[in-house]
Amino acid sequence: MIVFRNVSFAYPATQVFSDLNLSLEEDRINCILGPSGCGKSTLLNMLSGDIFPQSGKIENAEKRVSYVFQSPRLVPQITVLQNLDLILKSVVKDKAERRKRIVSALELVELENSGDMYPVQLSGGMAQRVALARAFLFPSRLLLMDEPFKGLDVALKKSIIGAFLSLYGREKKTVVFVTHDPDEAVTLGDKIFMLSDKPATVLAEFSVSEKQSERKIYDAELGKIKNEIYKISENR
Amino acid sequence: MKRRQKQLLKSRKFPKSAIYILSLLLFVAVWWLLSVTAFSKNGVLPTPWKTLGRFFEELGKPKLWRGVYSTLSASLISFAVAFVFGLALAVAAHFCPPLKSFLEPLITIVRSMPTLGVTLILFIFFSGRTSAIVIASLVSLPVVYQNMLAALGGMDKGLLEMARVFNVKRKDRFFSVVLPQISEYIFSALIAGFGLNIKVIVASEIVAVPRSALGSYINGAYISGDFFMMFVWVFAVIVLSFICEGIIKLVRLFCLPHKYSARRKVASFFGKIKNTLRRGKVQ
Repeated sequence: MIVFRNVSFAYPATQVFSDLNLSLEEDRINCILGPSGCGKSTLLNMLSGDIFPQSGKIENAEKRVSYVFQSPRLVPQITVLQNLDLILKSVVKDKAERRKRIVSALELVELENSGDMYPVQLSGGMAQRVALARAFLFPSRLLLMDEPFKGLDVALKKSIIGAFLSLYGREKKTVVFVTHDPDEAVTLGDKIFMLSDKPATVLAEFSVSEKQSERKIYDAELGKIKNEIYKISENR
Repeated sequence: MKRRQKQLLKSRKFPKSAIYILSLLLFVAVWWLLSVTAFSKNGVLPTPWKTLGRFFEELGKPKLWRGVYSTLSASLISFAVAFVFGLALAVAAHFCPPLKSFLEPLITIVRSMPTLGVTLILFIFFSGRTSAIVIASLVSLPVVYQNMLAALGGMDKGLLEMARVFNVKRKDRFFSVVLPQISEYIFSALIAGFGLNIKVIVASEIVAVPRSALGSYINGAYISGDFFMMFVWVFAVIVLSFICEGIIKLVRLFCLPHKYSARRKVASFFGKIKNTLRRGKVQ
């Protein structure tokens, strides 16, 4: 379990966190829900080792992390296969083994015939699925996701969430999924942490017991959690 | 009718290569028209066919090839010097903003130097060939510097962050993330800089007259009043520039496959064949 213990962090003009306490559950999807600019991305940057707490500590932080960014961030000048090979090179020396893993990951996101394509030839949804495959290919225990479904239409979002769940079902990781959309949070999160405005603290915590693949957005349990989220947001 | 014309222009019924040839034909037509009308009496301007015929005749003689070798080698040396210095200065300026500000007026001075005037000054100290190389390097340097600076400034920081998060090795980061991004600018610098470089080399050769160079031939023909040969040598310079630019563009086509759909299709086609063969082997 990754634990934020009394973590404080400030940029020159703003205090982002002040004594933040948070326990992220292992091998589960932890959703961080909060308004824009509350420090969600800063929290991910701390987990990726990009920045460090100015006081307090993060216990059991992982050294190696996977990341799904808001945009796919694929190198446009190289093919999909080469993009995936790029991140595996440092951890898997055998070329044939790398190739095997890449092909299998592409099959899981239904892009087995797109390996030789360049990112410019992919649609937005396809590119984001490649980004998901990349995150699961990279051997790490922690996966950070920074609003990866932002700006996608409903059908595309559903298909990419499906791809994510099939990858996650095959290889469990501790996922920290940042979003500002309560629907996404209740659809994917096993644990939902609702953050306040800056300096951010945890306003509320929710747990969803049902498996993600069985969840329906109109389920009573999910509806209750969403109502709670909206209520807290209004009173904030 | 106008709408139809617009549609036709927008449609792919005019392939790029056809427009390219059309533009060349227009150039030859204007040249021919001028040579048989305005300049027909004094014979200053020979017709395209006469020039072309003489040019092909010269192709069989060692004089032309000696000239091409001399001019081209001078051009390559001067451009290589400009490229190395331009790249080094751009990298230094990118990482050190005060240096960038310091270099700005110097680059402006170098860019606005009168080429022929400086060649004459250099000719006092150096041989004709060296003067041509130095001045061509100085003229190409700002082009390379500006392009490289733009390349470094325009790099996608998100991709660099991605590479860092996924622990991509420094070597792979450079060859697979940084180099592909700046290669477009490198080719822009090559095309713009090298074309300019050949022109400056020839201009300097006309003034400094080194031994066996295309510029010296132009000068020799002018002094002896042989305008016809002067045109043949000018034509040789144009052909040389054309070929060099073509080679650079061809290399670019293969180095930047994501930019060119034709190259992409070829790459995808061979990729698919490779995959099929590999699958066959596994089975």
